[in-house]
Amino acid sequence: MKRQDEIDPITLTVIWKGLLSIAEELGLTLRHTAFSEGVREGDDFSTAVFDAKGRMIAQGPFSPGHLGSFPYVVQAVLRDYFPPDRLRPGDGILLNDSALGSGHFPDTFQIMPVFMGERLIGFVCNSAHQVDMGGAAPGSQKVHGVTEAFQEGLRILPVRFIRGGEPDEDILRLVTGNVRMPDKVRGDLMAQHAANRSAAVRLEALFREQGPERVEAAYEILLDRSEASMRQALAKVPAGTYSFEDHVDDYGPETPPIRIAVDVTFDGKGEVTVDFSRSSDQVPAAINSYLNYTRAYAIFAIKVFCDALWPQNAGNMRPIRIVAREGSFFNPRFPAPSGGRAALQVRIFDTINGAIAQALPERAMGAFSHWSNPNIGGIDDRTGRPFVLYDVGLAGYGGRHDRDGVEGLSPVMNCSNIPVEVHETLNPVRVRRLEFIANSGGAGRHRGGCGLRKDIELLNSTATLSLLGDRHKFQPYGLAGGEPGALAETILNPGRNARTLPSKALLQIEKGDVVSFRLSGAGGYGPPGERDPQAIAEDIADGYVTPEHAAAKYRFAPAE
Amino acid sequence: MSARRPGLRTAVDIGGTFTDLVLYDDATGGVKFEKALSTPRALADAILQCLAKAEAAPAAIAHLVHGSTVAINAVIQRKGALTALVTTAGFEDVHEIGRANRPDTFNLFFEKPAPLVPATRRFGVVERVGPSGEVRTPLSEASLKRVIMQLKRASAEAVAICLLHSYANPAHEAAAKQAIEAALPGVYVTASHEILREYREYERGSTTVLNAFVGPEVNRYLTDLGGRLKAGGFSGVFHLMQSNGGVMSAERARQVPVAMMESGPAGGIIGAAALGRVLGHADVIAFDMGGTTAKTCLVERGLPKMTEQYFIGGYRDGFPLRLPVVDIVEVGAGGGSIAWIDAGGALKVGPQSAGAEPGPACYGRGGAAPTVTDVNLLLGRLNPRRFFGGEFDLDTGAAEGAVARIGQPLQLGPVEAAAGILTLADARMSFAVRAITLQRGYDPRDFAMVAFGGAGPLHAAAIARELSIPTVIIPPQPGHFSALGMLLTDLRHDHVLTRVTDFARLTADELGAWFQPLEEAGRAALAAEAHDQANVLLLRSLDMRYAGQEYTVTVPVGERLDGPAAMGELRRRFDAVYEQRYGHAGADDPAEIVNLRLTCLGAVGKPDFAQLRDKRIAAPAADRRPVYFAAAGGFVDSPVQQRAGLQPGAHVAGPAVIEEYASTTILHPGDRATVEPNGCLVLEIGAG
Repeated sequence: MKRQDEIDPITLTVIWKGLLSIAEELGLTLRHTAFSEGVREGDDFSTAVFDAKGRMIAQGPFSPGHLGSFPYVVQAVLRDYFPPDRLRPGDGILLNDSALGSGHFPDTFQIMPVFMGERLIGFVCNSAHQVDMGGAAPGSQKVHGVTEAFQEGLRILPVRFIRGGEPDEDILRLVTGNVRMPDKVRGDLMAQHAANRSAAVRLEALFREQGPERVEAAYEILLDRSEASMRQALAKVPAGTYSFEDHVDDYGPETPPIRIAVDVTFDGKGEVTVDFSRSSDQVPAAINSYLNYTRAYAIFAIKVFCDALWPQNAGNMRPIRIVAREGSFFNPRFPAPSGGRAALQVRIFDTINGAIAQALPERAMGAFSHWSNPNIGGIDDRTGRPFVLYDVGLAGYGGRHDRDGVEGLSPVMNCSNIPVEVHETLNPVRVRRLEFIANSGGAGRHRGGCGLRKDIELLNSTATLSLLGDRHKFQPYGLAGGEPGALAETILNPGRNARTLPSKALLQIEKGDVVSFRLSGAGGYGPPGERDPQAIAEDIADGYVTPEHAAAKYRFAPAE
Repeated sequence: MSARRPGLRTAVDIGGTFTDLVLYDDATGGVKFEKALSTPRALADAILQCLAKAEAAPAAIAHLVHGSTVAINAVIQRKGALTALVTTAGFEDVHEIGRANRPDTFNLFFEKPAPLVPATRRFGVVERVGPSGEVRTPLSEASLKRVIMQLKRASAEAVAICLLHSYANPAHEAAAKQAIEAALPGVYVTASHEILREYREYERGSTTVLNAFVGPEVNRYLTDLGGRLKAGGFSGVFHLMQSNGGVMSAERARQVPVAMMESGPAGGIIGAAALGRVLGHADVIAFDMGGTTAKTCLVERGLPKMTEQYFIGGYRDGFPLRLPVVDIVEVGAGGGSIAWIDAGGALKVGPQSAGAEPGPACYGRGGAAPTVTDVNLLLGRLNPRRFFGGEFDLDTGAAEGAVARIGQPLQLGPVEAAAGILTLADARMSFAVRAITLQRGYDPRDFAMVAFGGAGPLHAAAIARELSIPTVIIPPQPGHFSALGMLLTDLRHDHVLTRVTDFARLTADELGAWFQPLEEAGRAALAAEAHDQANVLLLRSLDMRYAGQEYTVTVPVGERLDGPAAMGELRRRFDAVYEQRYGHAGADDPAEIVNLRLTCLGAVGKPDFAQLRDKRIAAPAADRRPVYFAAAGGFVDSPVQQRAGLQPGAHVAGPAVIEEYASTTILHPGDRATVEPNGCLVLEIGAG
């Protein structure tokens, strides 16, 4: 802590707030200019500021999925592709490789070196989920039937996409020639670049104002303090190894479950190791979780449990080790396919939550409702143009030691759902209902949140439905005696020739077909017998549970 | 009303602590300012008290403008009516599900605020309208009857109705409202299409629920206030301030009370815009710093920037309200903001505030935490003996003790710590100003800052310097400026209509025809307020985006809308607005429109700014004292002037302090102030 004498606490705060606001502003610009639904609705993008050595200093408060992979991306790019001495003012690097990046091709990263005169002072970066990167199916996220990454679309190893401040038209043509919606992809690549450019101007201004020596001294202090704060938090967790196991339904129709097993070891001195090695081997379908993706959500989980409010940077990631056996589901070898790995983010968190619940029962919660991420796409009969309805289904949180699970809130990733009126305006569909599913939340002293039901009717002659969900076979677990939430279901045409669909599949649907998405309920916490009768009566009044369910699960009889 | 009617013009701003009144005499040009403690149980009392203090008989008042916290308090304290919600069957839970995002990504312990209407009071009617307004399922009379029974059983005091796609075809909503009103006399009923005709069912529904929730309370309030003013002989025009910076009649306020949520802060912004115009600055940054927060808003070409949605009570605890509101960025940095040390050992300022009780340490009322006001006192920027015109003294010893305690663990002496806290507070506020300028593509050097609120003039010069803003304007009576601003507002109604359309396929005639009903509705609303149609200004604009995007930018539509040339001009303007905001544009990419917007302004006669000086305060002799300036590296012996003693045309060179009742202006070394004929101080920052 010697360096503290060299820089006063006020200047330190001014520099720190300045960096955070650069990272945040970069993201706000990207969100407002994006064409991809994943970016603008799902907040599926991230931003960060790095120092000249490639260490992450500050991040914007956006998707944890890229936030946690960013440091590894930039380090690999500088080490293996673009050593800093080969970078010049006006350069910008582009990549989307799943192993180098954040685990699937649709996430494009752009990294821009920032100079003050000729001196390299750092990097500004962002990543964004593109609407398509080519490959076997629209959206480049088809799970079943995709057996190697080369079927998933265009793979871009790091290239100098920006030269002299302008995009390389040759590279742009190569990219847009390989994707389904070239205008949208072009628009988003340009939006990523423009956002980086404005952030670079601000970073340079900060360096000029404060002087590079002072800013760099501040970096060391910030990293050290972040690390110290994380170590302090980790040291408070009782030492030991905590293990948990759960399963992903499958990786397509008629495939076996995937085992997710984690061993979390706190050494009691300030370090933690999260090891996924006991999980299944990598699978021949596009749902494998590359190590950067595994790291991202594992680090997210550790931060949520131990040190949620300290902004993330290279410092507080130092004491966290994420391990997975090479060739396993959580550290596959290239060219393992991985397009649909988004289905896993909630499951990575859930599994770590199950393990840490043994050490920190008051921080943990029952498992999430999970989520659904279906697409309905085709050619709109009315206009002859393609449409893609991208939907995000978000439901309940698990119960905690002191309260019920929250209803209707985004788990892990921080998404918004999409209004019914927007869907119906843009796409030939009609939403028939959107409501809580009674009795779906796991019973417990503190009840899990309810699942959600959303029924969508196709008004077009035909369309392709791609399903990316989970928890159709393995219920969201309860904790401390709480019961699991109800299973999810996807049903085609409920009430007339009803047909149950798997959680992950691709199929054609016809005009008049209704797809009913029913998300699982979240897990409960504590024995149901300990639930306050007043809370049960309120649940009945609110329609979260029916009187019959209350009688069966809680032996509840209404007061006269 | 006629555009101008001689007599007294009065504005009353009811705030949390004080009720401020400004009285302007049309005949003499004289201005009076009064203050009284707000009386939460009977807000009208404070108004009548203020009038009595100002010796103004209600009968002599030609025009009264009023801003009130009655609506927003009902929401924040959750003390509105017992409200029910009627939706399309199958969508009753949308109000509780919301949009499902959370304020902080890393905080999974976030608790959503409980919905204003619980499931037990949400009822569905069988009906369905499609996105083009086509009826897919007719409104079921049977289901409507059942809902009415449920509303009766729930003893609802207010009912909000929000049916899917009612913005495109309000027939079902209107029919439901009629039936419910007929069946439930005395119950306050609002249908969403009466509030806004814009898509996104959750946000529209939330706005409608808020309107119903505050409706009964606001109606009681208006009835009480109106009755008492009338009993006192008042027969003038009575207007209410809206969040959009305009005013509306009491009749309209009874129907759309949700429009007056943010009526207080809007007054100051409008005042800043008007003052800027008078002094030749059409582009202005309004900066309002009080005890708890600092607020800032951009004024471009004389018009305050608006935003279409905000969260009432904040994102964390609040509900979305989709009505145009002046786009204020607010930070928790005010005179009462507390300095503290976080877990990582860093010094922070705010957002916790010491408020009025116990207040800053130097108030001597038991406050022990160091605040921005304590720091200003320690650094010589405030006069311990002339606070609030000398109404009470400040305790320098208590301020020093509080600041010393926080400096100790950081190994900072009291002055160093105070200087640090001041730097951080100024930095927080400059981030807010940065957010409304640089982050939106505006260069602060092109703006003048109008600084007001009790603490605004103390900090304005430092913030202006930080952002290279060349000019700062301090109005007379900066502490009363929000009330004064209310006298300068016009009648205003905003209308919106969602029509998602490919821009290239749209003709000027079609667009004109779409605006037609909005214009008729706007003129009708003004006519209902007995407004002279000669003084009506209609401002049309479009929310536009590139096809495939979600977020829009607002593009003004010119007065003439004829032929392809006008459409070409519109398209170019869209690209230019987009480029200014985001730094790039796609002139060849297809564009689409999402919403039509119409702002209807009905001009109201206003006082001119020729004479705003308050001549009541006698000017004591000039003085000197040491004042801390970071740029000078410490304390500098500085002249202290009394503002009341400065005549028009007078110059003051920094470093200097200019004191007045309830406010103090600081000039840094290198700044220069000039007194304008109307009493404004104009600071040239770093002029030499």
